[in-house]
Amino acid sequence: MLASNRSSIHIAKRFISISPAISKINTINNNLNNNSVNHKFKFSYENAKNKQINQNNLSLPENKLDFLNYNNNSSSSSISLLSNDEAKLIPSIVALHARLNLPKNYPFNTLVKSLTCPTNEFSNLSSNNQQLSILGSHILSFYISEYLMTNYPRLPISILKSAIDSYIGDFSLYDLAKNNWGIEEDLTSKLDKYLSNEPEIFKFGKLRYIRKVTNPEINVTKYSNDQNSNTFELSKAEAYANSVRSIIAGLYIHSNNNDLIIKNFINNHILSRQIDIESLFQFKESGKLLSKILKSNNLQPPVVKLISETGRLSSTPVYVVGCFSGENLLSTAEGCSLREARIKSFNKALKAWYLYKPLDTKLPSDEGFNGMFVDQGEKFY
Amino acid sequence: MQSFSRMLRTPSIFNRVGSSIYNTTSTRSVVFVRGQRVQGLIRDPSEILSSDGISYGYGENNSNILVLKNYLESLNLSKKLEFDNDLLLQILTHKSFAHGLKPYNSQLSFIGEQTLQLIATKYVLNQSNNELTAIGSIGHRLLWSDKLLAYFAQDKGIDSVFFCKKALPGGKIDKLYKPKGIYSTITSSIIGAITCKYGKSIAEEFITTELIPTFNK
Repeated sequence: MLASNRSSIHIAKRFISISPAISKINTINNNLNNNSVNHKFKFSYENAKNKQINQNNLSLPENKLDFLNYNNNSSSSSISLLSNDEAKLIPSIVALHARLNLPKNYPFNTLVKSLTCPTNEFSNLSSNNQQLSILGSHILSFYISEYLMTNYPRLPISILKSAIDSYIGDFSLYDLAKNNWGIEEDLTSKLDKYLSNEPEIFKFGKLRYIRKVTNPEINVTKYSNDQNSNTFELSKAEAYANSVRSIIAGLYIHSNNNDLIIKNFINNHILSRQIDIESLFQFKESGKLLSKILKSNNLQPPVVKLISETGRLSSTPVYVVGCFSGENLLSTAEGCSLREARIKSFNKALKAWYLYKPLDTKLPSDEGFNGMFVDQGEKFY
Repeated sequence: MQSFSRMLRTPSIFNRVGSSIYNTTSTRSVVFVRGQRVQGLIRDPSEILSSDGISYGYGENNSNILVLKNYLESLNLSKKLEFDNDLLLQILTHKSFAHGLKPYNSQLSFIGEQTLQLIATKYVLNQSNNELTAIGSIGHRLLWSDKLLAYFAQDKGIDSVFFCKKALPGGKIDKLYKPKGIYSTITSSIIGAITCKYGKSIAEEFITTELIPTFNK
């Protein structure tokens, strides 16, 4: 299950630069080329956490922090989802419950709710998964962050966020939901359902959402007579990811906030996926950065020494160099030229520094936790 | 200007790094500038390493970290909070201070924010009897907003010494100008430090018994 090998998952590389000039040029180029990274960029897991619900249906107390007196006005008038007994009759829901090995007290209708994204029909907050997905994204975000920060305490924040996103971003969770959990999406129209004589409740066993159409087919004009319908549009990845977040939130609620159950579930389904964090790094001016790190730790500046070479006069020479700080060997690297070998040795030394991993770590949420390594912050300039 | 022109001729660090391969040696003389900035010249470190007129460090008799230390030790949690002076100074140093030369609080602030968001969400859920009604509302999102986190630091008086760089024209000093986005990291770093040293349960206790009641004021 190598996430980095899948063509569907794109993990953006983060630039580590100590020169402000270079990062600016890079950002400008990125903006011109593919609009991928700019200072306002937010990862999909951050967007999921900070989503704001439509408060029109809520009656709010005067003190906004008085959470006991928040009321949902339209709960009685809205279309309610299925009862637990009705949900038990849906084969796909029962299969998903068994496949995920969910506890017996996890109600089947919570799974139905998790697969129901907001639509015109289910616009009420109590009947769709909007709030469940917000809760789920907070849970996921904390447990993945603490895992990464404990195991890789020196990761720069930009790499750390990329790594979190590659675990719990929209595309990763979409892959998990579709290819591992086997959640199906409901693509049939109402007419198809009518013609196939499908029982009414079967429509609840699939992921239902209003699909965002960004590129309509040629000569096809996107038509919508309801202006509000656009507010419920979701991309495919976002809808799948929200269903995963909602299922985890449901587990949290029905396990009476039991951290152990949640952690086991996240370990089994999310942290068990391998992410190649090393591939997220891309250094600019690695020699300067390494010199800066060594200087700030009162170590001698890096010196690159040639260890061995072969075929200097041939078309394919190989040089093996070592990067030393005083008498300490930081890294070795090989290359077709002295320059290539030197830069590779700097990069390897930097990765060895940033990917430092303490042994026998315990997470802050574990019992018997007695402190973790705290990094002093990434060096720049 | 003679020393400045000499500085311009100084070889780059790359030459020094590859000295064993290219066999070049160099000497370097540096002139520091005090007062107004001069483009291309290096400022005196003693000027860079101060914020609002307070020099970086523990201060005389640990005066810079004393307020935070006393506050954390006075808390009545199930474990007594005791932090190293280095960690306390790191909590009180923002990334913007002295170009990140000194240990700063961004990692602590990051894990602190994650913890706060989860615990605040849990708190909202408990307050509304496990109903999801208030999740995602403005009130819920307020609990980790920069405004309230900066207010907490101000309320407890722990923002009196904070090493950061304020973007004021001409490098002016204004002790009353406290940007919320920067000053909020004091509170989130405290939560992060508690999480990193004492674990999630103590951090949760701090948030529910100390932080959120202050917001309710």
